[in-house]
Amino acid sequence: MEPKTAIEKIREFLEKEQDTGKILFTYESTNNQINSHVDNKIKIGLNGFKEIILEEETGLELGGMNKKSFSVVIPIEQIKLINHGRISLLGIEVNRIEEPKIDFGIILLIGINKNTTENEDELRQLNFISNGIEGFSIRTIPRRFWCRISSSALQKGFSFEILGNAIVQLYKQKFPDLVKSVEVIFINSYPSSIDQFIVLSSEILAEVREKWKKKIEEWRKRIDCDYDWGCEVCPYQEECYDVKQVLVSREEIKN
Amino acid sequence: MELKKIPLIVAITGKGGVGKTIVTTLIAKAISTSYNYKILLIDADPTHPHLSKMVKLVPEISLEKIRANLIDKTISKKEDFQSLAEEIDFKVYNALKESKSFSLFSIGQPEGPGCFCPSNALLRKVIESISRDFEIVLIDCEAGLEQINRMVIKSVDYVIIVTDISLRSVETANSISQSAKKFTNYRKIGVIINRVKGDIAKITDKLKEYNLTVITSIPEDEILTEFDLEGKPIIDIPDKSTSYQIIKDNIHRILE
Repeated sequence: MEPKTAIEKIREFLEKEQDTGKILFTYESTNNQINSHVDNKIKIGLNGFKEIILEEETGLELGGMNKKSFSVVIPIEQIKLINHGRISLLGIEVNRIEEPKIDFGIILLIGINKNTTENEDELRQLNFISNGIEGFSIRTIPRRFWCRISSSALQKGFSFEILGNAIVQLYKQKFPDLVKSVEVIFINSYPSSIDQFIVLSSEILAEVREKWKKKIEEWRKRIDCDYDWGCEVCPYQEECYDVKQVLVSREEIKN
Repeated sequence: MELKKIPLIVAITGKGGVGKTIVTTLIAKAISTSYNYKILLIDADPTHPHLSKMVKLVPEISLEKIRANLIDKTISKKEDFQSLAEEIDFKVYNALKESKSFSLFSIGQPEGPGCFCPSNALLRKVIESISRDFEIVLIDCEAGLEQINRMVIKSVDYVIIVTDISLRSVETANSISQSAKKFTNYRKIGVIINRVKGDIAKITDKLKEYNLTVITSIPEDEILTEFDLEGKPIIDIPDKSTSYQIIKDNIHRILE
């Protein structure tokens, strides 16, 4: 799917969801506003907060086991299509959340400059933001999202607005030449919206998946085997076949 | 200090009984007190899984247990392949025991016979993915590196072989270095000579002959011996311990 069409589809999706009565917040930030959040509430800085947030210190978990979640990063060369600094939240703000764990999805639209040595593929590894936000820690799970926000960060007023601003700022800091603009979209509270977006994202990322499919097929043939692929003498032939299916399914989710 | 690669993966190995788990613990302690890095420890010695106790982080479930459950669920068709694939990363992450200083995985002992090849590949993929949340991964291995290469992680940046002052353990160091060449694409390899007493010229000459660089030598340490005799967690060893000081003074050589 063309990046332009992908963005149109995402915006259309958000509008439709809003039309059905779901809450859509939009925050617009300038660089100055981003800094004011840094001064007043949660501290932000590239590699400044390498925290392990233990279970007992966790105030809120976004995504995680038995919760719906996704993360999608879409780099786009047409910078003008992206509203730099805009943070959209389909759902509710942190201070109104009552459960300790919630469904959560994150979409990052990133306007890029191709004329740089910085690697575009690295944009998809968003776990680096984990080390840049006070009281926030990501646990990497392919294509899903799982993070912990500490109780003390919640007390200081951690919000999705702050998280969105931090993401914009950290991406610009880490990739100063490659990243020109960043727009952030969060979805929480609406499991059906998350399901629908997962379907939409697999359409958007169909080309990327196609590219990986060939790699996975190649890699599948290279799994080490104690029996040197002498399947006729292997006592575990059936379970080998089954476990291999799980392995391949995981690779497909990942890519 | 900026790491050349993130995560930096260090495998600590050596003949049984030379003190590699103690050395791993001292390295972990030295890094965590001197630098602000996220450290993942992997207790990958299935026959002597002592690292967890030495750093006071005992996971509730081992990776071998997760593997056994996975195989059981797969062959009994209790869950479909897609669900198993979706939850395996979460399950492995939940097997991680965390503290503010380190996080730790324990490989554990094999749980009966089973199909090891694809399940090894699956666990390795998940561990490799999770290790990206850390900056340094220290793996306490059994003597050979074949097992970590299969189940834990495909590539290792630095192989540290621990030896004592016996000729047998130096010869084992040589065979480990040969197998490391075969099974990992390491960037560096080095030796730590442990429990040094008296003249060790013969040992260092032999290591030179085998083309193995000595990172440092640790003399017999009364404090460490006392901790070991009483079964105290080595992570609590006081800063004045000679062995800890030596590791701390040389930690930059491991990280550079």
